[in-house]
Amino acid sequence: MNSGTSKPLSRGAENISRPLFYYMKDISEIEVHLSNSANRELCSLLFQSGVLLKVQVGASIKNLLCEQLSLDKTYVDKRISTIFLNSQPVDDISKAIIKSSDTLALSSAMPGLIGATLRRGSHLAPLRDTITFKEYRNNDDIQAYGLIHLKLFNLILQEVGPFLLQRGVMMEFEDVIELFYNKMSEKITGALDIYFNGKRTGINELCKDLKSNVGQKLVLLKLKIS
Amino acid sequence: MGKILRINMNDLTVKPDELGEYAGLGGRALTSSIIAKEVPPLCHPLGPNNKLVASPGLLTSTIAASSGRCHFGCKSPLTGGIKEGNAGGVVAQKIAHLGYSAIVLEGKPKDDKLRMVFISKDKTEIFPADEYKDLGNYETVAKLREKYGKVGIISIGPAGEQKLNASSIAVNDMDNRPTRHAARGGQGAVMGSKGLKAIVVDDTGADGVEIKDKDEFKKWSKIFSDGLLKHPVTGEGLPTYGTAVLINIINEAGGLPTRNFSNGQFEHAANISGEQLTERCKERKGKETHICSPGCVIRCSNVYNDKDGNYITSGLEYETIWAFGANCNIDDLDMVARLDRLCDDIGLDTIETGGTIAVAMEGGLLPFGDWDRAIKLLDEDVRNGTPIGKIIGSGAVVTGRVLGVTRVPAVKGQNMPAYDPRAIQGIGVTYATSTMGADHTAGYAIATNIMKVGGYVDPLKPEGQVELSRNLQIATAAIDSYGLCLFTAFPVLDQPETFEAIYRMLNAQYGLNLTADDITELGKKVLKTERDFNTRAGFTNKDDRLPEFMYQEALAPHNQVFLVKDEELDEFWNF
Repeated sequence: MNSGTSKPLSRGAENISRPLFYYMKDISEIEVHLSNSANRELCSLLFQSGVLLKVQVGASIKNLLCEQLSLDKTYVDKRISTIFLNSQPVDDISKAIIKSSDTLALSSAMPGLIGATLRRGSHLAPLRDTITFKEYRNNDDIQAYGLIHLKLFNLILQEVGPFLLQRGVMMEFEDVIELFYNKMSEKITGALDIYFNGKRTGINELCKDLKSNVGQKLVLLKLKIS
Repeated sequence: MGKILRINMNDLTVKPDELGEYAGLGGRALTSSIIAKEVPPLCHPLGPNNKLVASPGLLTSTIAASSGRCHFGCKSPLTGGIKEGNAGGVVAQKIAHLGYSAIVLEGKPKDDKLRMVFISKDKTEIFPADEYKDLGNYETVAKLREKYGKVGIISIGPAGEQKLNASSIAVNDMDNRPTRHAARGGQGAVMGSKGLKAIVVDDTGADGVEIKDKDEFKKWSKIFSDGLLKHPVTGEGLPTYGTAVLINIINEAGGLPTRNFSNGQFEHAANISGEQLTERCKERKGKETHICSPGCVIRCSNVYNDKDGNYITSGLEYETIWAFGANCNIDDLDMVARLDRLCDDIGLDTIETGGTIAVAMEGGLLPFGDWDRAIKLLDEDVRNGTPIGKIIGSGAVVTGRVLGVTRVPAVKGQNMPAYDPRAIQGIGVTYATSTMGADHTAGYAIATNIMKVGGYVDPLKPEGQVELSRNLQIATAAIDSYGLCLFTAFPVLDQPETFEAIYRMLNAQYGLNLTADDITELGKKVLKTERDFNTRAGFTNKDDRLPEFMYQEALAPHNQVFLVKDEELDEFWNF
């Protein structure tokens, strides 16, 4: 990480052991145990396409990142320099309010003219004026919990992804099956220990259980680095 | 400052020439000045009156970081206008090291024989190259490397020999592979029209470039290099992921042209992303970071291997992955890598070729996503010069005409690169007004408000797109004249001392007193010179427009058409 860029988590956040979804009851939980190197690939698979998070909606993006996800403020300001809300580049994250079902994508500084144009507060912002997020509000209006879709890219994926995955993210069960059956490389599947609701299992058994558990569309996926 | 080496292919003579009125110019400023002054604008691009100029930048062959670009210029057979394109690799530094500011290929041989040129400290020779006829760039470079040792090689593949509009000029990289290309605008065809397969540059024993004030140069080159290394894009983002890191971001912004510019998002973008590419390179023991020319500190290139660890290609970049990936509906990086390798070998521009295949897919020649047929089109048809191969090798506009496709995303005959201007409208201004045709690098340098070219643009004003595009193009034209990689523009944008280092290095090298204003003025002069050539070649403001369908067909997910008015585009040249 470059000098002047802080660590991703706010002080003490690495010791937070409670899941992000402690308030969710009766949700099936998949815990995967992986080595550090395989974990990087798993995060890459998961966060580029996106995961679901249950968060307090009505809050600003800044509130979500710094308060709800415990990311360090300097890290958010300096490192997460490119942010999209529903495919619209955001310039002021303290006034962009998250709604239920929104898609939030986080990236570090990107190369190229367009990479620079898409950055928060870029002086080239007029070049992408027609797609820029503009529905700013001055105050948070924190409401109940809602599901949002979170995507992480590039350096943010590497730096924040493992932390979020250790605390747990939600996925639709079809996406979990797709992940385990079709997307994971042998490197991951060969190094994987899986626990479904606390009981050790295998990929085939897990997918079978998920398919038969039609009452639950969502599952909680957690990572334990072994 | 060096001399111009003039190589006349008409009478096969060689003559070193003084720089004369071109003194103080390098890179794009020199190529465009020579073309504008010496080439009749109405000449046929493949005829005897066109010239092909190769020029290192003013800082090339010094210790200035990332200053090894080789610039090529001519009248383009693809656009009919002036063209400058540049490549990394090892040859620019060797040309500069020999004391040449430019190599100018002139005339046309009286016969159809293929030749090559050998340039060294003591002599320049032209001799037959029959044994290299029809060879791909890879085999050509391997043979020349075996014969001549550690040399710089400029070469063309079968596409250039066939004088196809989409043909490129290849330069060998640090691993002696022909992976660095001045690709856009069909410059390979111009080299082919002069009957030249390769230029071999051997700088053994050369004196190198003179530096007037070595201590001062060293001081500012360190500031420049430190600026690149400490910046998050050039010091970390690009070395980690390469340019392909843009796939996810441009896709998220809804500006990744998909299936011939029919959508702004590709549903399988994660399969071809920079993140995926990096994992793949690591897993297969390729290189996720790689240097394309000596002295580069950015290291944004890569080496991509197949699943068995065998080399496929190098420098798999964002534009190439987009062109054959999202734009052709191919979500398999292995297939994209194979298509890239074929382009490098045959000598084709990946942007034009990927764009052309997407147009061919829309025209029904092959289905979207059919990588197998796409590979055959290149490897069998274009390489061997079949009728359909010649059509594909002639670019998107020709292919669209043949197949009756109306949605051809081109400006001035050149296919657009990997950013849809309906999502990011400012890039559309650059595509429309660039002297080069649709070109993302024309307005790539982003030093506008630091350089204050044309005044400070208020970032809160949405109407500043034309002004910004103009400033960007001026800044780019200047940076292109120093031999610097355009990626150096990012730290220049964010760090004033990095920008200052550029003209301080020039002052130290040449004993000059340049200021930021001089750099701006150079950029303006280059653009006006190029515009003047295009005007004399018959271009008018009506050519500064995007294709009709982009004004009519809204692009998902933002559902936007191109909104910048013609009269606003016409304001571009008011400077």
